[in-house]
Amino acid sequence: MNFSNLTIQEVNHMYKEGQTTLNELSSKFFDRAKNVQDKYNAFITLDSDYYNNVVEDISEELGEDHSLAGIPAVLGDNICTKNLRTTCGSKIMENYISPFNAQVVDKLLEAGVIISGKGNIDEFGAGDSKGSSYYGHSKNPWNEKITPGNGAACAIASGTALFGLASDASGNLRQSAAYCGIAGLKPTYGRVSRYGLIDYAPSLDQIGILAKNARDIALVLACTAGKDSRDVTSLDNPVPKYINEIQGQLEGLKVGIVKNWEEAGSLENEVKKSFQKEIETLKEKGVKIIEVDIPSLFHSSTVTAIIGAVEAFSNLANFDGVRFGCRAESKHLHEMYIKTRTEGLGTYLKRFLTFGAMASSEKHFNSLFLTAQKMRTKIIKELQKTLEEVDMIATPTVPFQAPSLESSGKDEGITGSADVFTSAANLAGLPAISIPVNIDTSTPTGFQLMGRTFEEGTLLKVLHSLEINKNIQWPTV
Amino acid sequence: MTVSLEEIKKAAWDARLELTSREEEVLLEEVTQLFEKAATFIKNAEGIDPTFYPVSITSVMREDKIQPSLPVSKALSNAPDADDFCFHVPRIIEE
Repeated sequence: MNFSNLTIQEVNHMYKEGQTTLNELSSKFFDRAKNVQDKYNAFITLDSDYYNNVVEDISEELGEDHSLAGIPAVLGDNICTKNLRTTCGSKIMENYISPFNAQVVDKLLEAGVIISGKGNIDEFGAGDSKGSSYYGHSKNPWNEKITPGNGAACAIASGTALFGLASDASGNLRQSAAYCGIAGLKPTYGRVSRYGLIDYAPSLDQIGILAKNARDIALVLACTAGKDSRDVTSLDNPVPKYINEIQGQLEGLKVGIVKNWEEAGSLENEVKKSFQKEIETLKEKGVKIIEVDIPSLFHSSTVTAIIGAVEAFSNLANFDGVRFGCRAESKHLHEMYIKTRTEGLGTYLKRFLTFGAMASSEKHFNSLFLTAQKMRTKIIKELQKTLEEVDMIATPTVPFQAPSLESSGKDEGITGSADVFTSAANLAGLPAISIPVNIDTSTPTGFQLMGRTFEEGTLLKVLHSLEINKNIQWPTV
Repeated sequence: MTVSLEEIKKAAWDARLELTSREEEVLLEEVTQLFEKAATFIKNAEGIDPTFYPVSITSVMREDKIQPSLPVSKALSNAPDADDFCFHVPRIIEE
């Protein structure tokens, strides 16, 4: 069995044709996950008892068309799972076992998905995918010296899971997809319930999907999308059959290229060339390319950092050693709060939260935080106006290739340099997808498309069209 | 906009954290850089209403009907120190 190339469609075919069984496939995938873990540290938790119980509970028909039954998946470790610990990539939550499942987890289990384990994440999902996890760096299967972003992307690229769910507050999921040569979709804000996601910035965070192709993402989105009464920010828009929406020609579509995109800080030449090549391919497919002016776009990462830090300061205040997580020995309550948080949180998150406290203070609230929220309005309006003119906006996903592990641990800035192109979609709640490019080299990168709200199907159609005839040689593990 | 080391220390206290002197220095530099970036858009934001959520949230209130909730034992199951009914914390006033 060639794990590296498998997709959901292929596994369904194997089940249908009797080429494998649930027990055989699940056991081979788990063995592979354990071996890959030693090499790449993709997971924070792999629990054979939990895995076997999930497999035993699968009652769905295997091999049905468009089925997720018997498909191995990985979850970012800030998505709550009953009976399987959820650490948020943090020491403070090292032994936390949620008493409930996130809504997306319930949906996946009902569909018969095998949850392989919990993928490594930046602590509480904050940061720009450089690997600020208490549980160490993951390594990229394409090149062990560079970061894969999150562990879920690493698990998929190394063939230990066929899809993954992870959070995306400023672009983390899409950046990880770009670094690992896979696709990553951040849906419209409200499309997927955030109930059970331990998010750090509730107005920015969404649960997104990582997979190798458009068909697989379409199946997973159809399963996880929809209104949830337990998440007041989830929306009741109809869930289309995304699998039908990915077919068709691209002719007539209009794609906007942002004026002065080449002037983005730290844009690498290799990324620029890959982006231009993909634009040429779109032109050949009949897509009209139009230059669009979004002057405030390049302020997005700073605005997101300010808003994210203030929300994190508030949202993560309850990690204080009272209700859950570890607790430091202390003589009195106030000392307990300070010692627990100081010992339990990592250096990046501590600086980020401190900045959040400062931006919320009387001195800076109006001049910094409120100004950032006003700029958010401006960015949203500019994007909305642009999306009246074009169907989607194209940029590179990340201005540079995956950073080396050596550099990624060093004083990560509170404004994520990788977020330049990705964070606008979080501010505006728009769907955005990272399409893998440059995957014939050892350092893949990403091509991002940002679309209109609830038009995930159109983004997936472009991904589907671009992936045809790409013969990807996935890294051998 | 400017920031001082004292402000960093005060903000850390507000966030219930203790930073090392190295962390304070790094943050001071980061915040100074961020303020410089923010200064480039402050004027552009004048006269605009702020946006706090990308979607309009209608209501956080549900119908007043009794529904099952998390049992107390489960709510307390992850606490570092608890009995059957409540969390335990150290004394509030220093000895």
